[in-house]
Amino acid sequence: MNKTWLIARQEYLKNVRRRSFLLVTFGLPVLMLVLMAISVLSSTGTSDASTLGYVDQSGTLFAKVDDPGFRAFANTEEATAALEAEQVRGFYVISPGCAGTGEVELVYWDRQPGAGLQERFDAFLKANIVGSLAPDVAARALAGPEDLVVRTADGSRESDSAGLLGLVLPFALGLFISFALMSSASYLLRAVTDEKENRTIEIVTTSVSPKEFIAGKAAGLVGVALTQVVLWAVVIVAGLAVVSLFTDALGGIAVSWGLIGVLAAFFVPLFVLAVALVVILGVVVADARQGQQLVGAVNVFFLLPLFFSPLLGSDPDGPLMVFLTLFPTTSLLTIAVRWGATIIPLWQIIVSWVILVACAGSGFWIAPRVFRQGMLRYGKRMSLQGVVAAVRTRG
Amino acid sequence: MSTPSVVVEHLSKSFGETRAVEDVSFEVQPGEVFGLLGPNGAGKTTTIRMMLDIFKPDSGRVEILGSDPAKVSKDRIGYLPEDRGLYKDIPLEQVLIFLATLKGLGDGEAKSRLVPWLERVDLYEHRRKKVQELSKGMQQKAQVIATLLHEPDLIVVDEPFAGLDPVNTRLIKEIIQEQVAAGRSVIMSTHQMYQVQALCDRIVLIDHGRSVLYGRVDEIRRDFAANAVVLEGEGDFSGLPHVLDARQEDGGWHLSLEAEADPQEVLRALATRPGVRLERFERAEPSLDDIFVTVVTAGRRAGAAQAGNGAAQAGRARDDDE
Repeated sequence: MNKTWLIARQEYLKNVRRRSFLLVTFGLPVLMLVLMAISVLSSTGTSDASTLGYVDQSGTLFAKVDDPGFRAFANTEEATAALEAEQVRGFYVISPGCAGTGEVELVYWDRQPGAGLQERFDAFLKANIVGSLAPDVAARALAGPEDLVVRTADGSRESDSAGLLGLVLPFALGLFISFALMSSASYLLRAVTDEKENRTIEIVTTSVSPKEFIAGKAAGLVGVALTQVVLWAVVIVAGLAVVSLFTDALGGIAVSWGLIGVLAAFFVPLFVLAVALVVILGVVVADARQGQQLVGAVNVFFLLPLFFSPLLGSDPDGPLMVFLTLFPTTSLLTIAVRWGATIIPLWQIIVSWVILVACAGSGFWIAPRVFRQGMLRYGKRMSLQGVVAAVRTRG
Repeated sequence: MSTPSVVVEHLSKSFGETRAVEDVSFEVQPGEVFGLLGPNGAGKTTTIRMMLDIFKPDSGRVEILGSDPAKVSKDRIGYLPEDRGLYKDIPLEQVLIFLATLKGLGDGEAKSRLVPWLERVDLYEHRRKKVQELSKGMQQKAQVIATLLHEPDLIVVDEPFAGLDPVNTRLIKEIIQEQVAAGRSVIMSTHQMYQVQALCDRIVLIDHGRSVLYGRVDEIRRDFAANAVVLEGEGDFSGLPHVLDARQEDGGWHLSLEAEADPQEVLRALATRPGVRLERFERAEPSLDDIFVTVVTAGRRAGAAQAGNGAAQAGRARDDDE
């Protein structure tokens, strides 16, 4: 059997059997499901429209378009009596000038009616307000503004305004990938420092080459991270599917295949670069504790775009965003962050990828050399001069 | 003579300003136990690491089992390093099977080979325990299994008896002898000279990175022997021909002979002397321990003298400048 695969399998099994892994991997989705259930229940807990009433002082609702069965009261006294008798959870008071001011008052006892029910009443109210218009005009008014689509001159790429979701989704996708990457890197750092502390490296390197060793560890640990992330993704997608049964707010979600392709092209070299950095870090430090302290600093170099995400609204194509796009460790997340806000010029994506691949290649060449020299320094740190000497030395 | 298992020629390695190994050469033959000796920090481990392709030499040549160390199959080598290490948070059986699979064995084969080994070294009952739960001696025996389970052609063991009680020391010694009897080569690095004397056919002694002694153990001992005999028995051992001095030592007698005297003439004289009953008569050869101390101490004195001369010359040069 291939030795890289053997190391990957060993590393994978060792980690997925850890109690902490099982707790985080299965505990988090359970927590997410519980939160989603609470959210769904709170918004749809009382789906019966008759539990919500209204007092129409404006006469707006005379047409009773699409009446989903909300209880109408002649005046607030009747409505209040029904509320006190717990016949309704609450009632709206539509003020006389509502058509002009939009003023609507919601009265409830101690528990606010669910968000889903309120949304249905909003829709009911809007349908009645535009009920006197021609049907096609009313339909346009209810549908809201048309989507604005921005295309490049040659029409090869476009950006549509899918609203907040269109901005947030690529961001979330980039963050998701970055998290998987950081998670693998963190596992790898622990694996390397463990190997150093356990003093197993001298035996292992007389069985496999440093490259096989590093590749096997990295492959096993990316498997661990992907197991975690895929499991969470399945839970999220399933959860969203369930949520979409109760609300149509998620109907506009569409993932850009162009973005997925670009992120996939960036992921592999970025992962190689992260592995190289973490291996060097793991070898340079004396023990796992020092490693964990330093890995936080390294993570910042990967997650830097998050700190500048407020710039997206004001200057998504500014020099800082371009710099972060071209900088190897921040390229993937910056592209994801900018994707929904602007059209990133193709040259930036290509140049960024070339720089990243060059850095990853250098890292893949340097890391085994530093590893070979530094892994046998049990309990000792490796100085910067030592790292430089290791890079220069033969093998 | 068959192709050597290991050929080391003029090997040198520096770390920064420190010259760790300088011009070391030796050969190891198949089916022999070869002692790689030297004081702490002499360069033994660096030499081993270069042999095993963990470090690349600055100059010189290494040939392992007829090939370049980088090209020879690592599966043919078993290594017990001085810095012991096993994965501490994994059950013993899993660790040993994993290490064996890295040496080319399949899971099933590794498992079937492992059982008799575990039984032999009294670890079978502990196979499901995590390594960190085992005693130091048990971990040492487990490490020996990891070195030998894949039946390597070349075995390199650094301090194989460290942390073992006399019973287990004897067990490991037997195992080493079995490996040699099976035609494998064993390179052993240890400070336990009586074990070297008992096990090794040939040795190289490294000091300050240089090879200072190399050859067969019996020849080296003869070379270092003064012209003397050791004997045990009853009777009067004084006034013998060609004997310069007779003194009692460790329950026997140590007789210093004239420079060109033949010990056989002394034996004949004793055989004809009335009232003498001999239980032991042999040439007085120094132990390897004595030779080790003699050579290393002489090296240090020479080094100190050289440093002193250097300082004196520097001082004279300074005086001249002034």
